[in-house]
Amino acid sequence: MNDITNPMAHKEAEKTMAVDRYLLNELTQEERLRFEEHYFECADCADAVEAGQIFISAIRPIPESVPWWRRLVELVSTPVSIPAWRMWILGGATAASLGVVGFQDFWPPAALANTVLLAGETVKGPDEDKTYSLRTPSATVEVNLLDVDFPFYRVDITRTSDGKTRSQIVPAPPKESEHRLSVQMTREALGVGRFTVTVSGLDNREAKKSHPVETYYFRVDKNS
Amino acid sequence: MDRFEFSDDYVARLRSNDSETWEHFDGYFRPRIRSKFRAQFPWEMVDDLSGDAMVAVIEKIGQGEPRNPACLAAYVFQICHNKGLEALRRLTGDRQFTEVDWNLLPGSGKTPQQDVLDKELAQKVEKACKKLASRDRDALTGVFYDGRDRDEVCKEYGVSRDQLKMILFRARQKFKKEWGRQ
Repeated sequence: MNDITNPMAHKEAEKTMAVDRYLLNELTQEERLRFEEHYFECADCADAVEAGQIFISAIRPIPESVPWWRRLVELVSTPVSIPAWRMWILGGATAASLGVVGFQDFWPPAALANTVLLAGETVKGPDEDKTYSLRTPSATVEVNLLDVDFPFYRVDITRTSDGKTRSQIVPAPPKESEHRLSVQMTREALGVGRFTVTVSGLDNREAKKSHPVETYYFRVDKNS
Repeated sequence: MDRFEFSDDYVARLRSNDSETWEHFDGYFRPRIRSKFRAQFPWEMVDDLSGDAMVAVIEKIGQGEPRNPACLAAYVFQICHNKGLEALRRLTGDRQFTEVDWNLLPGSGKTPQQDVLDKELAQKVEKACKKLASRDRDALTGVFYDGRDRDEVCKEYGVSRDQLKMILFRARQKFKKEWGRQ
């Protein structure tokens, strides 16, 4: 039954700082399994991992009591405020059935006072001035992928002022989602500024060449 | 390395429902199983997954597994690994799967063990944090609390990725002392 046959040796775990890399999620899949198999036998490492996880959990904010999956459903059905540094990419109808496709850490929270989101409601192309005021804490871009068919898509959100870009690669949404990809962002996550959201198709997850599908423009202004 | 040797006798005592041995078994494996699932899943799911894994392990032991009792830890790990894969399949259905860092999901900091986040523990964490240099503390909270990009955090506080590991290492050591468990 045991198909993981090469548990990490304790010396290797120590030498490579496996505990800390595990907690920082920096181990490869193979390293992670080897280390886990090791700490099932090693009291020192098991204690270290447990203490580290508890330490990390306790320096985080205490989350609201709503279960995570319910928050996901709410996230899809109505614009709600989600943690400031999170951008969610949900696969259309998949999201409604709890299919998290992926997510991405984003910029740190900006000064939020009196900030509203002005967003081009799926404004495509270069006409950046076609923006609409959305006085909501979040905005969603629905990307229609019907005409293209890639196994993976990359979503790039770029702040035009400094060119800072964050990317997330996600699998193609399932057909039942009508090939739509929903990109939801919060004003807290974006901060103030102009942004472009570009969705590109990828032939595979590691593909270097991407095929732009859509580009959208957003602007987040301070409320006067 | 502190390693417990599982023997034929130990597994035989489990099969004969020896309460002391089961107590040891629970104390030994439960934290490890929880740690494994915590690393991959929202903490709200950890209790259920751990329970499922424990039930599966108990059933298998009752059925005469593992054949080599010395491999009990690896055997339990493998059952947990399979349970984790099953859970991921349930979560993702038949779709292609994108590896998700469940650690960073909102709410994943909520532990099913309320004692983990109780005031006493929070105080211990705070105490351990206070012993850190402010730069180190800010770097850690930047990574884990604010969920910021690690390279950005490292750049901001002038530390390398390796130094970040050292900072976490020192913080863990300080917390472990406060926590009072060895």
